[in-house]
Amino acid sequence: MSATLAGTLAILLFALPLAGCLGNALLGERLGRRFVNIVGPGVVLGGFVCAVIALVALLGAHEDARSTTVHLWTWFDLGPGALRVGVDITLDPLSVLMCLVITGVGFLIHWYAVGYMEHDESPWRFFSYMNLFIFSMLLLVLSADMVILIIGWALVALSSYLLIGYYYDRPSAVLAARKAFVTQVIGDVALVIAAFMIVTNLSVRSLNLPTIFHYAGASFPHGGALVTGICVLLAIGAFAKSAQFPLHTWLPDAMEGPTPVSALIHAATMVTAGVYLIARFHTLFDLAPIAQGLVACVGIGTAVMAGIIALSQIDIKRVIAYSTMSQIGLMIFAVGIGAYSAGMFHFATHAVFKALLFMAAGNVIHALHDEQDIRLMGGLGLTMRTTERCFLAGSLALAGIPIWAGFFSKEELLGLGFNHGPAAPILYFVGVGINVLTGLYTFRLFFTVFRGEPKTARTYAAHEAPPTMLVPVGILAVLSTVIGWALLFGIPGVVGPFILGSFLDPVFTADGGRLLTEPGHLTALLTVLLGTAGSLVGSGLAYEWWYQHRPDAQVIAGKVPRVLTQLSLHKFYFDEIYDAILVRPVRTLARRLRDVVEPEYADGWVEAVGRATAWMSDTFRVLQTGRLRDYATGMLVAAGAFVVVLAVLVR
Amino acid sequence: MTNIPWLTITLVMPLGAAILLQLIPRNDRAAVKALAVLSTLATAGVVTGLLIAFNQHPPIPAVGPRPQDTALAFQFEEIHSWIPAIGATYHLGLDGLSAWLLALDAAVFLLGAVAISSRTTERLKFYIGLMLVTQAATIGVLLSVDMLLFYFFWEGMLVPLYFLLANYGDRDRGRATLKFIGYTVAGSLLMLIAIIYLYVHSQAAALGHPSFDLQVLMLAPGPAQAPITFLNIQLLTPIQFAFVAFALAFAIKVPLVPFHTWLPESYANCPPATLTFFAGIVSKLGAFGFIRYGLTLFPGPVHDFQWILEGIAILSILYGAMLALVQSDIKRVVAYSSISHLGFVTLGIFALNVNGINGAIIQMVNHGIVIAALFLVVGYIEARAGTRDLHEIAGLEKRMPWLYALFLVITLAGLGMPGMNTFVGEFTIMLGAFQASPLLAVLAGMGVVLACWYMLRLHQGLMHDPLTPAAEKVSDIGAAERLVLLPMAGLMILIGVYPKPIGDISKASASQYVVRASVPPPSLSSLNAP
Repeated sequence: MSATLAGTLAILLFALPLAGCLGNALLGERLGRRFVNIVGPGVVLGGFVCAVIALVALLGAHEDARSTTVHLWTWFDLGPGALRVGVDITLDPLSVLMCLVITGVGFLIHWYAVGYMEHDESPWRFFSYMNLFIFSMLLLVLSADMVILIIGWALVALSSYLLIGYYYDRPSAVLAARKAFVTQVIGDVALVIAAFMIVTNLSVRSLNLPTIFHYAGASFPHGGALVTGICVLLAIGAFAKSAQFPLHTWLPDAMEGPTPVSALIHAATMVTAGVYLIARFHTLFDLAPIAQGLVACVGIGTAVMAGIIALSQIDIKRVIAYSTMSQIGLMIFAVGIGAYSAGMFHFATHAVFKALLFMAAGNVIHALHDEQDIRLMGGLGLTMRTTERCFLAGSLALAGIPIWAGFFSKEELLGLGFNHGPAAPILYFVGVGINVLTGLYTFRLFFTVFRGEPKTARTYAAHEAPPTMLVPVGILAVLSTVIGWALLFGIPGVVGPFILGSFLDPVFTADGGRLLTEPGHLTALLTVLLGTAGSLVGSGLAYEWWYQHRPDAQVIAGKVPRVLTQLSLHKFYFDEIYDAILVRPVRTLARRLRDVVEPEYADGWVEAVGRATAWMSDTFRVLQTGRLRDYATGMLVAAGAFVVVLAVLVR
Repeated sequence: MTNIPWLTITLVMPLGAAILLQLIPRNDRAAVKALAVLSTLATAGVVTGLLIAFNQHPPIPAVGPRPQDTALAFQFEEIHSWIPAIGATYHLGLDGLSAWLLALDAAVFLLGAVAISSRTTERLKFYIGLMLVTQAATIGVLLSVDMLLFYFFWEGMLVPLYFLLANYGDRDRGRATLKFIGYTVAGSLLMLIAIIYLYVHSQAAALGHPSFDLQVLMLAPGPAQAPITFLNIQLLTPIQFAFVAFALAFAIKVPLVPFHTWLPESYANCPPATLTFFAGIVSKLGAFGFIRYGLTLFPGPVHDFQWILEGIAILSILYGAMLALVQSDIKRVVAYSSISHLGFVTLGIFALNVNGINGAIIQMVNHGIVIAALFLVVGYIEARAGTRDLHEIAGLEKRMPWLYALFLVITLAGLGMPGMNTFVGEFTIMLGAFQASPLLAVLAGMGVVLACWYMLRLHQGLMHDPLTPAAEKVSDIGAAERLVLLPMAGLMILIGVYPKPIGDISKASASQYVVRASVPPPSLSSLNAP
């Protein structure tokens, strides 16, 4: 791709959502809802067109010439040897795939939001924040300089903060927003310090990403402490953004935002930025096996933990939120074992089916007038046929049932986990367990919400969503069904088989990277069969327990050790633990400083000086009697003393 | 053009305006305010011209063969004899450090003049007069190269400030003013003694050409002296003592923990218009002094005390942030945040490298803009809600959409959001600190997280949640107030998006200060040798 085309596309990708953000914020209220409803989704659609053009241009280029980096302008320059930052952008298969998902799925969600926010009192504010998010995300994935990447990274957190706290008169939303933002900042700081470590130790002082990757091999010895430290810090940044243990507690609370936000930010795009980050920095991670192992373990651990928690949650959005956390755990596991393309494949399919699930859940919530408790739902399949079918497609994809999208991407990354990664193949078997969990919680949700008897009168009164909210959901349902095999086996006459892998792999082989060896045919077949069996078992058990009630789920829950059910119900007590070991000690210390140290020590000695002065003046004031004879006596005494002292000294 | 004394013009303009002010009758309040705005606007105009004409690659005056044998490169210099008997000169100059602070000075005084409410301020004419004299004194501090001249302005600044603080503000202002003035005068007197020591001791004085000129004192310091001993305990060397005296004066002005307790009291009792320049520029002069005089005159002691000073900087960052976290008075939240942010500036300075010092210069300017805007916002809210208690005000977003949006931008700048102006400074400072010692950057990073926490607590606490009774009657800010805040918010975004120009000017001088500070300190063993 020519530099001019790449530069133009990048600038358009930045300018369109930014113009939408500013336009909605400044003119939205004056020009009204129709303007907002057109501009909000319109700019994202424009971005999607740009991303498609970039894709076509990339596919037209030779496989080795698909990465273009363009220097747009210099952001900051403190001279040689000091900080230098350029606004550089990279268009390569990885960033273009991200752009396609961000703008493509993003556009459908914006379209859906037009319907969802129909009765909201300030849609301009909503769409302004949403467009800002798209801009930030594009800045993050296109940037070829670490400082600019960090800016995009932080702006993503900002738009997420604004949208979580969108209903600002709800104290729970306000708190959730602050919690999310502070957690993100912890990740930002880790990223900033990683940047410092890179720039001070790289043989070429630069934060330009292609430069870093080019010199990484020569500057950092394989497996060295330095590169391991850098990668651990990068991973902490990624964990904060992708809601991975131990920085995951903000994501469920983030469901306080409007449902389209949950779909766009807290399922499809923002939370996968951590996966992108690790994939982008694969050159460094390839040099740090210990950090890779850590990433893989954290990913799979989070996946298990979130899967267990999802089983007992009663809020429809929180169930999906924990499932998101679990699925991202799998992606993190994939990039942790070096299966970058597989991780990105799962990212793409997950974005589609998870956005679908959230939006279909949004239809349910909308129809029940903001009811989110699944115990009060049930039987919704009767009144909301289309939504139910779409939700089913999403559930099948999420559970990994063959031919739906999740099956292909999940089995690919798990299969690679059989031979690779720490303690292989143990983590693979954990993955099979996750498949069982996924099937369980996915269909528990589906059966509880859509099947069985309606629990409340509201369910009977529920009506199907309007077309603006159904069409995007329908498109995603179709995509969830076809995208997996289309990408893997190809569409005759349009794309060849293994298109995504062959498209992405050159990115990961550049700068000395190596691909994982594919498992042999027999191993591959067995791992797929076993994994699928796991999914089917989970889904089947869910069918038995929550649909057929033989035995009823309550009975099963009674047989599970109490520790496990309590852990699941209380989300492993992380909120309580953090409150006890972080939030409260800091607050107590701060109060101590305020009530004791500040008045008694820091200010105490200043006050003491003041008191001493006052005491001295009080004391000596007694001498100022105003009587002439007292002063004369004083002078006489002093002169006498002076003479005596002088006499003593001179002698 | 070149022989027009632009710096003198900048310095004298506010004084001239203060004299003109005496011709206006006291009760013509509109004219008094108009004069204040016009005068500060004119100063801002001249300063803008100076910035445009500023040479980003000034020739560096070399005075010897070694790389550190260079004088500071001042531009628009003016030297005239002042008190020939003692070698004091009227020497003004502008460099990359003072250029941005001069711009900040012009901006915050303009802001103060615009923000002052001519309807409610009693004795407006007196107030404006004092404000203009304060501006002249702060400009003098920034421009003077002669140290006696510098000291003259440094102390002179306190006179109008005293009357400003003692006459205008809240109930406890008398006590607060006494503490501020007492504290700063104590520090300044120590510095005066140190200046006299440097003056008497320098080689120039030994040769019979005594001088107070910074360039002379810096390049021709007196011979190194052995440590002073007291009861057989080796104390500091005289030059170290002199540095400590300077450092105390500057640390009080910044202020650094534990010399900070005048600040929350003074700020809490100050009206917002005064705070725009009192918090905006006056506190930055301490940090300015550290770079201009600390690094140049005391390269040895700076290295000796580097880790103590960096420790104090970290202490200020964390201590200020912790206290900001638990204040219920919204003005005090901002006051303590200021202590934390200036800790960052100090951290950058004593990293003693190009990144750190550039970051410090940039952050001084950024912090000046942000803190002035924050105090204005807090003032607007207090004036409308009738209280400063964070627990009594909530839900203002619904009542004040304009203020909400502008305050959001200012809050983000306050917490160092990437994409805002303060991020540029903080990132550069932390990089510099990291190069000095990675631990410093990690500790400063904790300060960043805390900053996020307390700024959001302030912003969300005021703006979000259900409306409280005190917030019920509040109305949004009007056009005049928007006119004040909009340009500031715009500037915060603009510098954040395109910081290159600001770095282009600061780097011209930052590297020079690094070179000055890296002059190898004389070792004690060389002293004992004959």
